[in-house]
Amino acid sequence: MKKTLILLIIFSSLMLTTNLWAQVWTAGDNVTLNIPEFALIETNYAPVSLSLTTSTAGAAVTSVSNSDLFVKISSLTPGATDREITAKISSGTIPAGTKLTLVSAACTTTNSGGDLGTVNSTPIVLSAIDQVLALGISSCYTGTGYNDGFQMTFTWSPDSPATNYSLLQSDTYNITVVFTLSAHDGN
Amino acid sequence: MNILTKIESQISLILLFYSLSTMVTAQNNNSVKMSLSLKISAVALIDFSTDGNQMITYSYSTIEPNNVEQIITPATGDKTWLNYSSIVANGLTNYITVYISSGSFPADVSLNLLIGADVGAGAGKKGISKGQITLSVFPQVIITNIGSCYTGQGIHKGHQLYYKWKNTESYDYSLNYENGKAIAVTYTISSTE
Repeated sequence: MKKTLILLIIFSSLMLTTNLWAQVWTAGDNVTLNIPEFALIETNYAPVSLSLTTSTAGAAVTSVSNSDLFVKISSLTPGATDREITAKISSGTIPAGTKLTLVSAACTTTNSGGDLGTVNSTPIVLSAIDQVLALGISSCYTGTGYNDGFQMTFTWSPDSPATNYSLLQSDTYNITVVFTLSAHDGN
Repeated sequence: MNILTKIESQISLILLFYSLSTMVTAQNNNSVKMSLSLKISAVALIDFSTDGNQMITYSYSTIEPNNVEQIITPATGDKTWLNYSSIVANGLTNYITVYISSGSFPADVSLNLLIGADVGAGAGKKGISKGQITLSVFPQVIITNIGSCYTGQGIHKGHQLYYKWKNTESYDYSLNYENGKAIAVTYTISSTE
Protein backbone atom coordinates (compact mmCIF):
# COMPACT_ATOMS: atom_id res chain seq x y z
CA MET A 1 0.00 0.00 0.00
CA LYS A 2 2.73 2.35 1.05
CA LYS A 3 4.72 1.31 -1.97
CA THR A 4 1.80 2.02 -4.20
CA LEU A 5 1.41 5.43 -2.66
CA ILE A 6 5.06 6.28 -3.22
CA LEU A 7 4.84 5.10 -6.80
CA LEU A 8 1.73 7.18 -7.28
CA ILE A 9 3.47 10.23 -5.87
CA ILE A 10 6.49 9.68 -8.09
CA PHE A 11 4.34 9.08 -11.08
CA SER A 12 2.15 12.11 -10.49
CA SER A 13 5.17 14.29 -9.84
CA LEU A 14 6.59 13.05 -13.11
CA MET A 15 3.29 13.88 -14.74
CA LEU A 16 3.44 17.34 -13.21
CA THR A 17 6.96 17.87 -14.42
CA THR A 18 5.95 16.70 -17.86
CA ASN A 19 2.99 18.98 -17.70
CA LEU A 20 5.23 21.81 -16.75
CA TRP A 21 7.58 21.03 -19.61
CA ALA A 22 4.66 20.61 -21.95
CA GLN A 23 3.36 24.02 -20.96
CA VAL A 24 6.67 25.64 -21.83
CA TRP A 25 6.81 23.88 -25.16
CA THR A 26 3.20 24.65 -25.97
CA ALA A 27 3.78 28.31 -25.33
CA GLY A 28 6.68 28.20 -27.78
CA ASP A 29 4.66 26.37 -30.38
CA ASN A 30 1.88 28.90 -30.32
CA VAL A 31 4.01 31.82 -31.42
CA THR A 32 3.00 31.79 -35.04
CA LEU A 33 4.94 34.22 -37.22
CA ASN A 34 2.95 34.49 -40.40
CA ILE A 35 4.36 36.53 -43.27
CA PRO A 36 1.63 36.71 -45.87
CA GLU A 37 2.81 37.40 -49.37
CA PHE A 38 1.51 40.61 -50.88
CA ALA A 39 1.99 42.85 -53.87
CA LEU A 40 0.92 46.46 -53.43
CA ILE A 41 1.35 49.19 -56.00
CA GLU A 42 0.50 52.88 -55.94
CA THR A 43 1.52 56.10 -57.66
CA ASN A 44 2.04 59.63 -56.41
CA TYR A 45 -0.93 60.68 -58.58
CA ALA A 46 1.11 63.35 -60.32
CA PRO A 47 -0.97 64.74 -63.19
CA VAL A 48 0.74 64.06 -66.51
CA SER A 49 -0.09 66.25 -69.51
CA LEU A 50 1.93 66.34 -72.69
CA SER A 51 1.56 68.75 -75.59
CA LEU A 52 2.98 68.48 -79.09
CA THR A 53 3.55 71.81 -80.76
CA THR A 54 6.13 74.02 -82.45
CA SER A 55 6.85 77.73 -82.32
CA THR A 56 9.11 77.89 -85.38
CA ALA A 57 7.70 78.22 -88.89
CA GLY A 58 9.01 75.40 -91.02
CA ALA A 59 9.91 73.19 -88.06
CA ALA A 60 8.29 69.92 -87.01
CA VAL A 61 6.63 69.49 -83.64
CA THR A 62 9.23 68.38 -81.14
CA SER A 63 9.02 65.46 -78.75
CA VAL A 64 8.05 66.17 -75.16
CA SER A 65 8.78 64.38 -71.89
CA ASN A 66 7.33 64.26 -68.40
CA SER A 67 8.98 62.63 -65.36
CA ASP A 68 6.55 63.66 -62.60
CA LEU A 69 5.10 60.23 -61.93
CA PHE A 70 6.55 57.89 -59.29
CA VAL A 71 5.36 54.31 -58.83
CA LYS A 72 5.56 52.94 -55.30
CA ILE A 73 5.41 49.29 -54.32
CA SER A 74 5.51 47.01 -51.30
CA SER A 75 6.23 43.41 -52.08
CA LEU A 76 6.66 40.18 -50.17
CA THR A 77 7.25 37.15 -52.31
CA PRO A 78 7.16 33.43 -51.56
CA GLY A 79 10.64 31.93 -51.48
CA ALA A 80 12.65 32.02 -54.69
CA THR A 81 10.03 33.92 -56.67
CA ASP A 82 10.08 37.42 -58.01
CA ARG A 83 7.80 39.94 -59.60
CA GLU A 84 7.80 42.56 -62.33
CA ILE A 85 6.23 45.95 -62.96
CA THR A 86 4.40 46.16 -66.27
CA ALA A 87 2.43 48.91 -67.99
CA LYS A 88 -0.21 49.01 -70.69
CA ILE A 89 -2.89 51.32 -72.05
CA SER A 90 -6.30 50.27 -70.74
CA SER A 91 -8.40 52.95 -72.40
CA GLY A 92 -7.96 55.54 -75.13
CA THR A 93 -5.69 55.30 -78.14
CA ILE A 94 -2.41 56.97 -78.93
CA PRO A 95 -3.03 59.69 -81.57
CA ALA A 96 -2.22 58.61 -85.11
CA GLY A 97 1.26 59.54 -86.26
CA THR A 98 2.66 59.63 -82.73
CA LYS A 99 4.19 57.24 -80.24
CA LEU A 100 4.27 57.33 -76.46
CA THR A 101 7.18 55.65 -74.73
CA LEU A 102 7.75 54.94 -71.06
CA VAL A 103 10.91 54.11 -69.16
CA SER A 104 11.48 53.62 -65.45
CA ALA A 105 14.46 54.89 -63.50
CA ALA A 106 15.94 52.63 -60.82
CA CYS A 107 14.04 52.92 -57.54
CA THR A 108 14.99 55.86 -55.35
CA THR A 109 17.22 54.85 -52.43
CA THR A 110 16.24 57.37 -49.75
CA ASN A 111 13.39 55.44 -48.13
CA SER A 112 13.53 52.07 -49.86
CA GLY A 113 14.83 48.66 -48.88
CA GLY A 114 14.98 45.06 -50.03
CA ASP A 115 15.37 43.56 -53.44
CA LEU A 116 13.97 46.19 -55.79
CA GLY A 117 14.93 44.37 -58.98
CA THR A 118 16.33 45.76 -62.21
CA VAL A 119 14.74 48.30 -64.51
CA ASN A 120 14.42 47.87 -68.25
CA SER A 121 16.62 50.62 -69.67
CA THR A 122 14.99 50.42 -73.11
CA PRO A 123 11.86 52.58 -73.22
CA ILE A 124 8.72 50.59 -73.99
CA VAL A 125 6.33 51.85 -76.67
CA LEU A 126 3.04 51.87 -74.77
CA SER A 127 0.28 49.71 -76.23
CA ALA A 128 -2.72 47.68 -75.10
CA ILE A 129 -0.37 44.81 -74.17
CA ASP A 130 1.54 44.70 -70.87
CA GLN A 131 5.27 45.34 -71.24
CA VAL A 132 7.97 45.05 -68.60
CA LEU A 133 9.40 48.17 -66.95
CA ALA A 134 11.24 46.43 -64.08
CA LEU A 135 11.82 42.79 -63.14
CA GLY A 136 13.49 40.59 -60.53
CA ILE A 137 11.56 42.31 -57.73
CA SER A 138 11.21 40.20 -54.58
CA SER A 139 10.63 41.34 -51.00
CA CYS A 140 11.07 45.09 -50.82
CA TYR A 141 9.50 48.49 -50.25
CA THR A 142 10.07 51.77 -52.07
CA GLY A 143 9.06 54.29 -49.43
CA THR A 144 5.83 56.24 -49.50
CA GLY A 145 6.96 59.83 -50.12
CA TYR A 146 5.82 61.85 -53.15
CA ASN A 147 9.18 61.38 -54.82
CA ASP A 148 9.86 57.84 -53.61
CA GLY A 149 9.80 54.82 -55.87
CA PHE A 150 10.32 54.22 -59.54
CA GLN A 151 10.38 57.52 -61.46
CA MET A 152 8.56 57.11 -64.76
CA THR A 153 9.47 59.15 -67.83
CA PHE A 154 6.84 59.48 -70.55
CA THR A 155 8.09 60.69 -73.94
CA TRP A 156 5.65 61.61 -76.69
CA SER A 157 6.87 62.25 -80.22
CA PRO A 158 5.92 62.05 -83.88
CA ASP A 159 6.27 58.45 -85.10
CA SER A 160 8.20 58.09 -88.38
CA PRO A 161 7.38 61.69 -89.43
CA ALA A 162 8.77 61.24 -92.94
CA THR A 163 5.78 59.06 -93.76
CA ASN A 164 3.28 59.66 -90.94
CA TYR A 165 3.42 63.38 -90.20
CA SER A 166 0.27 64.12 -92.20
CA LEU A 167 -1.68 61.85 -89.81
CA LEU A 168 -1.33 64.32 -86.93
CA GLN A 169 -4.65 65.90 -85.95
CA SER A 170 -4.94 68.74 -83.49
CA ASP A 171 -7.11 67.56 -80.59
CA THR A 172 -6.97 66.44 -76.95
CA TYR A 173 -6.65 62.73 -76.28
CA ASN A 174 -7.21 61.07 -72.90
CA ILE A 175 -5.34 57.88 -72.17
CA THR A 176 -5.45 55.54 -69.16
CA VAL A 177 -2.28 53.67 -68.30
CA VAL A 178 -2.32 50.71 -65.90
CA PHE A 179 0.74 49.68 -63.90
CA THR A 180 0.75 46.12 -62.53
CA LEU A 181 3.03 44.38 -60.03
CA SER A 182 2.91 40.64 -60.61
CA ALA A 183 4.90 37.55 -61.48
CA HIS A 184 4.95 35.56 -64.69
CA ASP A 185 2.98 32.84 -62.90
CA GLY A 186 0.61 35.39 -61.35
CA ASN A 187 1.64 35.12 -57.69
CA MET B 1 -48.42 35.69 -55.55
CA ASN B 2 -47.13 37.44 -52.45
CA ILE B 3 -44.77 34.58 -51.67
CA LEU B 4 -43.44 34.61 -55.20
CA THR B 5 -42.64 38.34 -54.98
CA LYS B 6 -40.92 37.73 -51.66
CA ILE B 7 -38.80 34.96 -53.14
CA GLU B 8 -37.96 37.13 -56.14
CA SER B 9 -36.84 40.01 -53.96
CA GLN B 10 -34.77 37.65 -51.85
CA ILE B 11 -33.13 36.20 -54.93
CA SER B 12 -32.34 39.66 -56.24
CA LEU B 13 -30.90 40.62 -52.86
CA ILE B 14 -28.70 37.54 -52.89
CA LEU B 15 -27.60 38.36 -56.44
CA LEU B 16 -26.85 41.93 -55.40
CA PHE B 17 -24.69 40.79 -52.49
CA TYR B 18 -22.98 38.29 -54.71
CA SER B 19 -22.13 40.91 -57.34
CA LEU B 20 -20.92 43.29 -54.63
CA SER B 21 -18.59 40.67 -53.19
CA THR B 22 -17.34 39.92 -56.72
CA MET B 23 -16.63 43.62 -57.19
CA VAL B 24 -14.64 43.74 -53.99
CA THR B 25 -12.42 40.85 -55.01
CA ALA B 26 -11.99 42.40 -58.46
CA GLN B 27 -10.44 45.46 -56.82
CA ASN B 28 -6.95 44.25 -57.30
CA ASN B 29 -4.39 46.23 -55.35
CA ASN B 30 -1.47 44.96 -57.39
CA SER B 31 -2.43 47.30 -60.22
CA VAL B 32 -2.94 51.04 -60.35
CA LYS B 33 -4.42 53.30 -63.03
CA MET B 34 -3.40 56.77 -64.06
CA SER B 35 -4.87 59.13 -66.61
CA LEU B 36 -2.74 60.92 -69.11
CA SER B 37 -3.70 63.92 -71.22
CA LEU B 38 -2.16 64.23 -74.66
CA LYS B 39 -2.72 67.42 -76.64
CA ILE B 40 -1.78 68.17 -80.23
CA SER B 41 -2.07 71.93 -80.71
CA ALA B 42 -3.36 73.47 -83.92
CA VAL B 43 -0.39 75.12 -85.66
CA ALA B 44 -0.27 77.71 -88.46
CA LEU B 45 3.13 79.41 -88.67
CA ILE B 46 4.71 81.12 -91.66
CA ASP B 47 8.07 82.72 -92.31
CA PHE B 48 10.42 83.84 -95.09
CA SER B 49 13.86 82.51 -95.86
CA THR B 50 15.88 84.72 -98.17
CA ASP B 51 18.94 84.28 -100.30
CA GLY B 52 21.04 87.36 -99.60
CA ASN B 53 19.96 90.64 -98.11
CA GLN B 54 16.24 90.93 -98.76
CA MET B 55 14.05 93.57 -97.19
CA ILE B 56 11.81 91.81 -94.74
CA THR B 57 9.62 94.29 -92.91
CA TYR B 58 7.83 91.75 -90.78
CA SER B 59 9.25 88.29 -90.25
CA TYR B 60 7.84 85.57 -88.06
CA SER B 61 6.99 86.62 -84.50
CA THR B 62 5.14 84.94 -81.68
CA ILE B 63 2.78 87.95 -81.52
CA GLU B 64 1.57 87.46 -85.08
CA PRO B 65 2.82 84.00 -86.03
CA ASN B 66 0.65 83.73 -89.13
CA ASN B 67 1.65 87.00 -90.90
CA VAL B 68 4.87 88.02 -92.63
CA GLU B 69 5.66 91.04 -94.84
CA GLN B 70 8.44 91.87 -97.26
CA ILE B 71 9.39 94.84 -99.49
CA ILE B 72 9.42 94.01 -103.19
CA THR B 73 11.91 95.62 -105.59
CA PRO B 74 13.14 94.36 -108.96
CA ALA B 75 16.12 93.04 -106.98
CA THR B 76 13.89 90.74 -104.97
CA GLY B 77 13.61 88.42 -107.94
CA ASP B 78 13.38 84.77 -106.94
CA LYS B 79 15.43 84.93 -103.75
CA THR B 80 12.62 84.29 -101.29
CA TRP B 81 11.15 81.04 -100.00
CA LEU B 82 8.05 80.57 -97.89
CA ASN B 83 8.52 78.18 -94.95
CA TYR B 84 5.56 77.03 -92.89
CA SER B 85 4.46 74.61 -90.15
CA SER B 86 0.91 73.37 -89.95
CA ILE B 87 -1.11 71.04 -87.74
CA VAL B 88 -4.80 70.80 -88.51
CA ALA B 89 -7.84 69.25 -86.87
CA ASN B 90 -9.72 66.42 -88.53
CA GLY B 91 -11.38 67.68 -91.74
CA LEU B 92 -9.67 71.08 -91.80
CA THR B 93 -6.80 72.51 -93.83
CA ASN B 94 -4.72 75.68 -93.76
CA TYR B 95 -4.19 78.02 -96.72
CA ILE B 96 -1.97 80.98 -97.55
CA THR B 97 -3.07 84.31 -99.00
CA VAL B 98 -1.07 87.31 -100.23
CA TYR B 99 -1.89 90.98 -100.85
CA ILE B 100 -0.11 94.29 -101.40
CA SER B 101 -0.12 95.70 -97.88
CA SER B 102 1.78 98.93 -98.53
CA GLY B 103 2.73 101.27 -101.37
CA SER B 104 1.40 101.78 -104.85
CA PHE B 105 2.80 102.01 -108.34
CA PRO B 106 1.91 103.78 -111.60
CA ALA B 107 -0.95 102.35 -113.66
CA ASP B 108 1.36 100.93 -116.32
CA VAL B 109 3.39 98.98 -113.75
CA SER B 110 2.24 95.61 -112.48
CA LEU B 111 3.72 92.87 -110.35
CA ASN B 112 3.17 89.18 -110.96
CA LEU B 113 3.99 86.44 -108.52
CA LEU B 114 4.74 82.85 -109.44
CA ILE B 115 4.55 80.50 -106.48
CA GLY B 116 6.70 77.42 -106.92
CA ALA B 117 5.59 73.97 -105.85
CA ASP B 118 6.85 72.72 -102.50
CA VAL B 119 10.44 71.60 -103.04
CA GLY B 120 10.00 68.43 -100.97
CA ALA B 121 11.94 69.13 -97.79
CA GLY B 122 10.24 68.51 -94.46
CA ALA B 123 7.34 66.06 -94.27
CA GLY B 124 3.58 65.74 -94.18
CA LYS B 125 0.81 67.06 -96.38
CA LYS B 126 2.26 70.20 -97.97
CA GLY B 127 0.05 72.74 -99.77
CA ILE B 128 -0.68 73.04 -103.48
CA SER B 129 0.48 76.16 -105.31
CA LYS B 130 -1.96 78.18 -107.44
CA GLY B 131 0.82 78.96 -109.90
CA GLN B 132 0.95 82.58 -111.05
CA ILE B 133 -1.16 85.56 -109.94
CA THR B 134 -1.10 89.33 -110.40
CA LEU B 135 -0.66 90.90 -106.99
CA SER B 136 -3.30 93.35 -105.77
CA VAL B 137 -4.45 95.01 -102.56
CA PHE B 138 -7.05 92.28 -102.19
CA PRO B 139 -5.91 89.02 -100.59
CA GLN B 140 -5.65 86.12 -103.02
CA VAL B 141 -5.30 82.48 -102.13
CA ILE B 142 -1.95 81.16 -103.40
CA ILE B 143 -1.41 77.86 -101.53
CA THR B 144 -4.26 75.56 -100.51
CA ASN B 145 -4.86 72.14 -98.93
CA ILE B 146 -2.14 72.42 -96.32
CA GLY B 147 -2.56 69.52 -93.92
CA SER B 148 -0.33 68.58 -91.02
CA CYS B 149 3.17 69.24 -92.30
CA TYR B 150 6.37 71.23 -92.03
CA THR B 151 8.46 72.53 -94.91
CA GLY B 152 11.78 72.74 -93.12
CA GLN B 153 13.52 76.03 -92.38
CA GLY B 154 15.76 77.87 -94.80
CA ILE B 155 16.21 78.55 -98.49
CA HIS B 156 15.43 75.77 -100.95
CA LYS B 157 12.75 74.65 -98.51
CA GLY B 158 9.04 75.22 -98.88
CA HIS B 159 7.76 77.26 -101.83
CA GLN B 160 10.03 79.52 -103.88
CA LEU B 161 8.55 82.93 -104.79
CA TYR B 162 9.28 84.50 -108.21
CA TYR B 163 8.41 88.20 -108.57
CA LYS B 164 8.01 89.50 -112.12
CA TRP B 165 7.61 93.20 -112.85
CA LYS B 166 6.05 94.77 -115.92
CA ASN B 167 7.37 98.19 -117.01
CA THR B 168 9.71 98.65 -114.11
CA GLU B 169 11.37 101.54 -116.06
CA SER B 170 8.59 103.92 -115.07
CA TYR B 171 8.70 102.95 -111.43
CA ASP B 172 11.41 104.43 -109.24
CA TYR B 173 11.24 101.86 -106.46
CA SER B 174 14.32 103.18 -104.66
CA LEU B 175 12.84 106.65 -104.31
CA ASN B 176 9.57 105.24 -103.14
CA TYR B 177 11.33 103.11 -100.61
CA GLU B 178 13.14 106.15 -99.24
CA ASN B 179 9.80 107.89 -98.92
CA GLY B 180 8.27 104.93 -97.15
CA LYS B 181 6.12 104.17 -100.15
CA ALA B 182 7.75 100.92 -101.17
CA ILE B 183 5.65 98.01 -102.34
CA ALA B 184 5.21 95.55 -99.53
CA VAL B 185 3.34 92.27 -99.66
CA THR B 186 1.92 90.35 -96.72
CA TYR B 187 1.49 86.57 -96.61
CA THR B 188 -1.01 85.09 -94.19
CA ILE B 189 -1.62 81.47 -93.23
CA SER B 190 -5.16 80.73 -92.07
CA SER B 191 -7.37 77.78 -91.24
CA THR B 192 -10.47 76.77 -93.19
CA GLU B 193 -12.19 76.48 -89.81
